[in-house]
Amino acid sequence: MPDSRRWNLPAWLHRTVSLAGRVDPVAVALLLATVAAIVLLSVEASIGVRVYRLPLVLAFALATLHAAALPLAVVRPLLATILAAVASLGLQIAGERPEGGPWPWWPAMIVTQSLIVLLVGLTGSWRVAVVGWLAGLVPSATAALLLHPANSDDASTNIVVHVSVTGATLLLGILLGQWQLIRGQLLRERVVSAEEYSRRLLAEDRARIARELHDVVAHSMSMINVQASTARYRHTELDQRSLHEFDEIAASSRQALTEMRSLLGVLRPGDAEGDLAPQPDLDGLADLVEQAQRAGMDVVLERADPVSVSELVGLAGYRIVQEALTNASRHAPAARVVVRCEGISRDVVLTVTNSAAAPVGDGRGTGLGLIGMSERAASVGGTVTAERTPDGGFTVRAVLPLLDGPPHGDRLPAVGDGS
Amino acid sequence: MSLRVVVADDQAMVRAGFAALLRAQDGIEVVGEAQNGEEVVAVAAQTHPDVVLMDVRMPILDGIEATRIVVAADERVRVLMLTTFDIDEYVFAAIRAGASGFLLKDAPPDELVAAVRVVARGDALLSPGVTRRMIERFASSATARQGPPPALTGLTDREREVLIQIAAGRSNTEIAGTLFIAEQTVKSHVSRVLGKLGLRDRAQAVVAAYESGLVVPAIRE
Repeated sequence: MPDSRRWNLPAWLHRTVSLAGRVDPVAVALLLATVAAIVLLSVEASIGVRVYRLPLVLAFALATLHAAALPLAVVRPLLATILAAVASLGLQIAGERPEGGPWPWWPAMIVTQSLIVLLVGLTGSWRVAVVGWLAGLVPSATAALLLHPANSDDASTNIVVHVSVTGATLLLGILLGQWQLIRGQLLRERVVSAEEYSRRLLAEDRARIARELHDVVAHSMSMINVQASTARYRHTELDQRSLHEFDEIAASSRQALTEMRSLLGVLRPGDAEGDLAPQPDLDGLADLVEQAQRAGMDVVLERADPVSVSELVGLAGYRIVQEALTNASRHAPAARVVVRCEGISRDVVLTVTNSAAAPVGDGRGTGLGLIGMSERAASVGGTVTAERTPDGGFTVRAVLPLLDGPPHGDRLPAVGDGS
Repeated sequence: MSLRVVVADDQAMVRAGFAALLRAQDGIEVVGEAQNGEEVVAVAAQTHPDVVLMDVRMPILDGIEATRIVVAADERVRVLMLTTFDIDEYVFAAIRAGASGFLLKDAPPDELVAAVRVVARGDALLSPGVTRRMIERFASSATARQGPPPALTGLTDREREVLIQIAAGRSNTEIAGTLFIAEQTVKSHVSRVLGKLGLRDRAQAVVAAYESGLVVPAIRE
């Protein structure tokens, strides 16, 4: 529909957003973790050989295992923490303690461990993250005390540094992970409840339309019945055959009504509205406009000569104008509104036009009002269009046949269809 | 003396049709017609009818409100509600407002005539099955209740029995058969029950029987 263009994102932004929306965050994390792993692997292996005097093959193998825990943390957090703990312990035990150098935790290993606990905190549960952190910490501290008890002061300092750095990243990872989790849940809930809300609105709208159509038809049918069954009392000159005809009409209209009533039971889900006034029609437009004026709207009704339409068309037209006026008051409260009703060839044309006005709120509607109007129009074989006017206002135009035609298309449009 | 009837409906065809149908009957006289609730109040005040045929759905003043005013103004008048839809809520509201019964507009002509006579005589409930079902459903619900349930303390045991029979939808003749008493006796019991409880009609008596708990709705579903 023409209106919706206004609210579309610019094309380039739209493309970027949808591209970003399609990228899998897990894949991105895996990629980044792998790059970091390669960098840290080469650093750890070369430091292991040069500073900690590990045999090249062993240094490379253990460093590879340790670094591999990084990408693994994205997909299998628990396994990654175990692997990291084992590999780092291996590196610490197999290497020599350099005089005055940091041990048991090499600086490169601290970086790797920090990244691992960060990733586990982000992707896994916080319990796994804490357990993994402790699993890397406790064995290495124990090993340090057993292997080099004489230098326990240096080792303690190193371990404190390690605990501080990895502890901070662990906390950061857990906080970010939980925040993501809660935000995701909120977003999902919001989407679900918005969907539910619009579905319910549509269903209610549709049920109301069906009910009103039903009421009008049942009403006409009962007219036919009364007219046919009382014909013999109102027209004494009728002969026997005509009387018989009338009785048959009365009987079949009665049967149709009985069938309609069982349908009404289905349509009216327990909450009959206490509305005992007859269904409104196009004559009610004057009242409608008057009500809107009383509510403070600047609205006028322009009506050429009275058009006579069937009850169904009258009701549909009334409801469409009602909805359009509601929309105008919501989206352009200060605007001047003109309601026009005219007979053009074999149609009655209803237009509700508001002048330009500062839009209120974000201007976004649910689009349900327009769907409801279209469904109403379609139910009597008519159409509704809505568009912006050249001067910045907005107009809703309903074209309904003067006589009920067969409805356009097959049925009401499917739920979720349209805007 | 013939029955005086007022026909109230916003559709000219329905008014003309029902008026013609009723005029053709012996002992029924159509004394007025009205096309909305306000008119029927005025016409009833002027003509003092025995029965008002009242459409539920009318402009200006709907049939239920009009019934309330008409029966408050003249306690002898009986209102027969006409509906296009057998919407239980409306019908129940109509009976609470003082209507003696209701009938679908498409009821066959002889049924309509019979209904007018039954309502005027007051010796039986109109469409007993439907009326009972509807009262059962609403009398027990808290929303329908307005004020405390009526007290039945003033009634004798016999009168209670008769009230239970009325609530079951039985006519005076049927009650006489069930309780083995003369129909004339039933009649006087019924009028004493209505008098003591301040009820105008059998339909209201059914509502009172359910609301006081004298009769308990059958368990549904």
